[in-house]
Amino acid sequence: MIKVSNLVHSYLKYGKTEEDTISVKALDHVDMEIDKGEFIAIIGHNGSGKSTLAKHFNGLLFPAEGTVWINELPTSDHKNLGQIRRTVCMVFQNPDNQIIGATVEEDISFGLENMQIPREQMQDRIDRSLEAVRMTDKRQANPGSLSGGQKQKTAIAGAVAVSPECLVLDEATAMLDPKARREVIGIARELNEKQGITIILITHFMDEVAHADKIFVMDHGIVAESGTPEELFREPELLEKYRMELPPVTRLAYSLRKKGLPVRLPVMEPEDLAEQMERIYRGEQIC
Amino acid sequence: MLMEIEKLNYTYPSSGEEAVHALRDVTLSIEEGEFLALAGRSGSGKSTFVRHLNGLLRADSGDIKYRGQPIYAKKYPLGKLRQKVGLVFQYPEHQLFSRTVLDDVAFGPQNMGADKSQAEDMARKALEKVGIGEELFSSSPYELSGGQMRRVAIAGVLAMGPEVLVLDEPTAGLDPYSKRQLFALLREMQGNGTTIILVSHSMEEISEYADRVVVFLDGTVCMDGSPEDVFSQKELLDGAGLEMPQIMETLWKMQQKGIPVERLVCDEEKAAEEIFNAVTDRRGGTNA
Repeated sequence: MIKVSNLVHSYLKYGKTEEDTISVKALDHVDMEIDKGEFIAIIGHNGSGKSTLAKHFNGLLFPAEGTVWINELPTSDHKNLGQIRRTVCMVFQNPDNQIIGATVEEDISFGLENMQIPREQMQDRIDRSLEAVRMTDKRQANPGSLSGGQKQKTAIAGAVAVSPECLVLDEATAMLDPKARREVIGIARELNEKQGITIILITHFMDEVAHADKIFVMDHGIVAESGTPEELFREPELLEKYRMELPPVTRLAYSLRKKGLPVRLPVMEPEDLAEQMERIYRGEQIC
Repeated sequence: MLMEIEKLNYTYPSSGEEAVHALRDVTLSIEEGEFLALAGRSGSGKSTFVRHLNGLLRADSGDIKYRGQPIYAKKYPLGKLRQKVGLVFQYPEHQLFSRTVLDDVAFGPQNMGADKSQAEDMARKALEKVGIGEELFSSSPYELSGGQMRRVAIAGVLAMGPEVLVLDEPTAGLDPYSKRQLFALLREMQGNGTTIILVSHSMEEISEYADRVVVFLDGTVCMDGSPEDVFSQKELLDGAGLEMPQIMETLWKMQQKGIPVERLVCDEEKAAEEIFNAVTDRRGGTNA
């Protein structure tokens, strides 16, 4: 559904004189393929290029070199942009910067009005997207009175109403408290599993990527590693190279294995480790 | 006692809609040199609370004493208080505005009456503390990476020489490496006698770095103690909308399954030991 080939994105870093002005590559020949229905995570340190990459997925930025295809349509052709932006929708980090309506309902309807969806259909789409993010009771609420988590859910509902094939969450949970964060991730997983929407999750929280089908690790503008969570979480050193860290429970499981307990690695959830420990405690074989 | 907060009440001014009673009878003492964390779900009142600590918001009722002096007294020098209690907001990099890094950090001291060369001197020292090298001093703050921008913004507060540093979710959006760097700086400052007050959503962060954690719920203080004591009270924690740190949660889950884990700890090494002892004890002589 998304294909990235040889993508270069560069910006100018201005110096004091013209000679000092240099071109910096935020993305340095990136190749990537994302299939329809996948749950993808993109991780990487600050400045690694992950948000820049995301902005290429729906034509907010255009390649300096290389090509990005969304369902075979290259983003570099402006005629495709309307179609591409209906196919790939984005939700950003700061909930306060992306809500414009006076009520939740009005905010969600903005995208639909833009697409000139008939009134009757619009109501139906709003109903369904509110339901998907469990915000039906907040339909008439003033977005200003919502919590950060509720605002992000409103932003997701606004995107879902457009019926995109792909939803990009660009650090959409960075400003949320743990419960709200969990809920937003839960909704993303549900949209992926029930409606088949491709999810691209950009995050610094490793516990959020544990369920991804595939993880891409960005470093200095390139895709440095990719694989399933099981593959990438197998050795702590691998991610540390890229200034990332494993979730605490995953690290705890490594220490236990080092101490000689037969732990099956990698462990991604406290429940998993507790269960494994129970089996060892009761003397059952797990390996 | 460095700060004593007594029965603080604050209601956000509202137009028509329901008034939000953000703080209700909040009473709290802050000791000099401690690393205090404030936790609570969004809207629990913790950010509102810290905005009172340097007089940015004025309580409807109640009192705040800084080194024994009530800050709401008539002639209390609030300007001085704002120098002593430095507040770093969420996303402080949004408040950078000068042409160069050095100018930006020197702005505060200059505003407080230092002349240009004095102010630049203070700025240099602050930038050095946060690990921003000389080569970046004349860069535009907007050319820096996210982590660097945040450190420059924090240097802007440090340049004022605060005795208390209040940080409202300083690590939001930072990668793990930048987080560790920031906490190393906070630890070092604590070592030099600065009192640190940290608002955080990360129970992991709090358990690793704070001496004490205060939990807010609906504008009141509902828990207060060491991170280990506070986080091990599952029901109260749930009620406040918070979650145990992952490591402690694992130990708690093991206890629920009847495994004799003695203590609920947050530290990784201690937890590994706890678990190892708990599961191997029972097996006695049987081989692993």
